[in-house]
Amino acid sequence: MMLGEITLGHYLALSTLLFLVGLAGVLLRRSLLIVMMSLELLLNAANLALVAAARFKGIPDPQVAVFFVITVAAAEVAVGLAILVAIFRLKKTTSAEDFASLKF
Amino acid sequence: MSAWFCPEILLTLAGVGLILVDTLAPEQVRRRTPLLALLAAMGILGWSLWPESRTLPTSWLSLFISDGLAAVFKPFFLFCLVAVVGMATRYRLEADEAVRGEFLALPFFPTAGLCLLVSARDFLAVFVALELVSISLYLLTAFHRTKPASLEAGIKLLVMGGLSTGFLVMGIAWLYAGAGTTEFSKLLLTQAGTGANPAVLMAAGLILAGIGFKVAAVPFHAWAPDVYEGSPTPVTAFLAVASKAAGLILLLRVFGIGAFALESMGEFFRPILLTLGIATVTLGTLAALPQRDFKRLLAYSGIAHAGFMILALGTGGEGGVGTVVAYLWAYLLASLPVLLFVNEMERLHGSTDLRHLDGIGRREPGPSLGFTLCLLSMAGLPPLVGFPVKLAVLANLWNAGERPALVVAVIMAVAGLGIYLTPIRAMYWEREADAIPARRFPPFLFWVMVMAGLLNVWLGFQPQELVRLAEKSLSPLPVLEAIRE
Repeated sequence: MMLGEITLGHYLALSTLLFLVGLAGVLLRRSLLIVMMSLELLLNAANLALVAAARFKGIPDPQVAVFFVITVAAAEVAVGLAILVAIFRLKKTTSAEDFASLKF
Repeated sequence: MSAWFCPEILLTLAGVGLILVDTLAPEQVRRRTPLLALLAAMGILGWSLWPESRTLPTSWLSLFISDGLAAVFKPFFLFCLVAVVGMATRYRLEADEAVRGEFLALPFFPTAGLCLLVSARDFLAVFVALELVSISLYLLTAFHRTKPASLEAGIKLLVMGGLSTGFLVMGIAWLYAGAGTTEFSKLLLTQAGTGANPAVLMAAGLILAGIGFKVAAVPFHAWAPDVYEGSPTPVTAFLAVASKAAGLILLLRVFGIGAFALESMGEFFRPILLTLGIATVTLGTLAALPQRDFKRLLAYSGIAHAGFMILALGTGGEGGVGTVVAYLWAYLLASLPVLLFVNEMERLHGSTDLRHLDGIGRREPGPSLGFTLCLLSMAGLPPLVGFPVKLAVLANLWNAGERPALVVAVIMAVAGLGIYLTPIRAMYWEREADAIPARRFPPFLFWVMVMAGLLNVWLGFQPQELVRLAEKSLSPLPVLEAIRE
């Protein structure tokens, strides 16, 4: 008896699932810190797919791409947290509900 | 040797240099930072017009290409940089006045990213260049730290930009899984002669969504009005012109002439692009009509313009691609002066509300005339330059036989007149507000606005100049042509 072999499709499905979880987090959560965590989840979902593609296609390029993504994500978080700190100093809150000064 | 003097490298060096001057130089030099920044931007713009500036370092050539499109659009972004730096020297930072040097140095980095972006020939290069642009723009948008709206705009752009990055990276991952490469010409080769691979289709869809955020196409447009309104006006100008143009050029390169340009993909994506274009034009135009804040109005009008360009791309073929190139230049020439005027208006009145325009036409006839001409050009009225490019979009739709899209585009082009006639009516027919500021517009604004207005008129009579640009941008299409034959 043997379970089906794990293929590239499985990894892609898992990474799509993680991507959707991240997307839901970005769109639905109110706390900006959790929104930024969800953004990280989006990028890491893509990283998983990249590593899987590298393994199953036998090409090293996607693994290099993962390093690019990690670096960029770190830079993005650095800037994002800086803006969050500035917002917290001004408003004493980081919940998205309190951002209503710009409205239609 | 001279390859190391390409605009991207010079821009980065200039940005770093300005920050160093701002932190280390003695006070009398520091006071000259605005002049230095403006001179550096103009110098690089001048150099980019030289053919020698177009050779890239050999080690970059697997990721970047120096073709007609790059040659036509690097000066475009540098022109934006000059305008943005000029506006930034005039923008009031109030409590943040001490960090003006950084405010002047930061726009050099996203411009370097944009120049890299237009010459990218690999999605990995696209990703890195786009992130250089985005992350610098998060900082610039949130730069006015004492103003809550600016911080709010920064965090909104960050969340939306992060989402767009997520889509793009996911698209790249699917490309590796489906085609094993992200190089545009190799992608064309792997797809040639076969039907559309589902994984590659998925990748193209994700990448389209990622770029959709950048150009603020419906349904990825919601961030634009808030971010435009909240950010400092020079940054709004950068977002509205340079960043939007970059998204459209990327769309053009990916779906028009490289990567996904083959018929097997076009068949699938042309209806999607047309639908996106129709939705974007309609929403942008209708939502712009009731706006009372000028920057918000420009955000929606920018969405509508992006919709017209997406429609042109959706018709496929070289006509559509050339139209986008001409449209982008016409859009630059009309909207940068408008934003310059708004920046000065904000300096005098402290806000960009439309009521500040009331009666300004009688008080400041010269700048108002130029402003009116630029607005009419954005509206697409003859004989201004906005007219031939909008007509070219409609002609492309007609030739491609896309009747429903054509009807919507015509209706929205007419309805769009209302957006631009509202401020013009306020300027000339509205009674002046009670609180008229004692100060007037500076004299340079008169010359800049009149020149810009005349340029719009002249190009409206000479649209063949824009056709020449479009032809130049498409001159070498080696890989796609080779595959078609």
